[in-house]
Amino acid sequence: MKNRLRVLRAERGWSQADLAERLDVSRQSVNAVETGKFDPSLPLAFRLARLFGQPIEAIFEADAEG
Amino acid sequence: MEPAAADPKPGSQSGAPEWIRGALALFSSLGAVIGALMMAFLWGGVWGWVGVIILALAIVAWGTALRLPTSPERGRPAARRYVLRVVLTMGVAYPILLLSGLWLYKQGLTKGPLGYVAAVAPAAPVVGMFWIFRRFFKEETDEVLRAGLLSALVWSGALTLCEATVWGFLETFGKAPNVWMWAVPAVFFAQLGITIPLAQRRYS
Repeated sequence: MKNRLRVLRAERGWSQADLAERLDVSRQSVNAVETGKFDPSLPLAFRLARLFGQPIEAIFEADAEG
Repeated sequence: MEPAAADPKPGSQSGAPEWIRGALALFSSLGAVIGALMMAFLWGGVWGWVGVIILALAIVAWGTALRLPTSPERGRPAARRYVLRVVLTMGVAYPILLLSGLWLYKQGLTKGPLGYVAAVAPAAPVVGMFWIFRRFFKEETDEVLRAGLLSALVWSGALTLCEATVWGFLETFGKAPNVWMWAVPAVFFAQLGITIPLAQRRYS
């Protein structure tokens, strides 16, 4: 799943470790979600949305269905 | 727009080269199998005890290999407790109980009811490992760490069942020697030493 996490992080000048600390997850998790290797659960997606003050669909974009 | 703060690759903060983790995982896997087989077939001689030492070293290597992939997350309380429990259970309790039981057997003290205790005692840490996995899934809130361990458990479990089935039929048809049942979880945990780093790589 594509997402804008890297851009949103950059806007705030946060490193992956900074974001991980704010979410209480591992930096590996932030990296995995950001690079699209892991799709977060709904609760984690909501936490990200709250943290960045944006709706979920403004952060995540579903892959186009073949 | 400013670029995001520099992020080293997860796992690169441990300072441990990747090959060390791979070598530890390989040694723990092969060592556990070889050590267990030596104990099973060469018991009573020096080589049986060499097998015990190899198995113990394999367990220590497995515990170390487990630590390395998650080193950036070592500070997470659940992960820290998990590693501590694994090392205490398999690295300390298992060899002690196993060697004690075998010593009692060798001394001829296991003929009565004590024999049941001595025989079942080494199984307790192995059973305890599954409690440790359960605690990790209850205590760790990080989804990627949970998914990594879950995936590794499934892969290792499936591989072990397949191998045990094939070996069992070979044994039934007289094409393979008998292997004691306790070797099955030993193989499972040895393979976990390989599947955990592989599962972690998937999300790195």
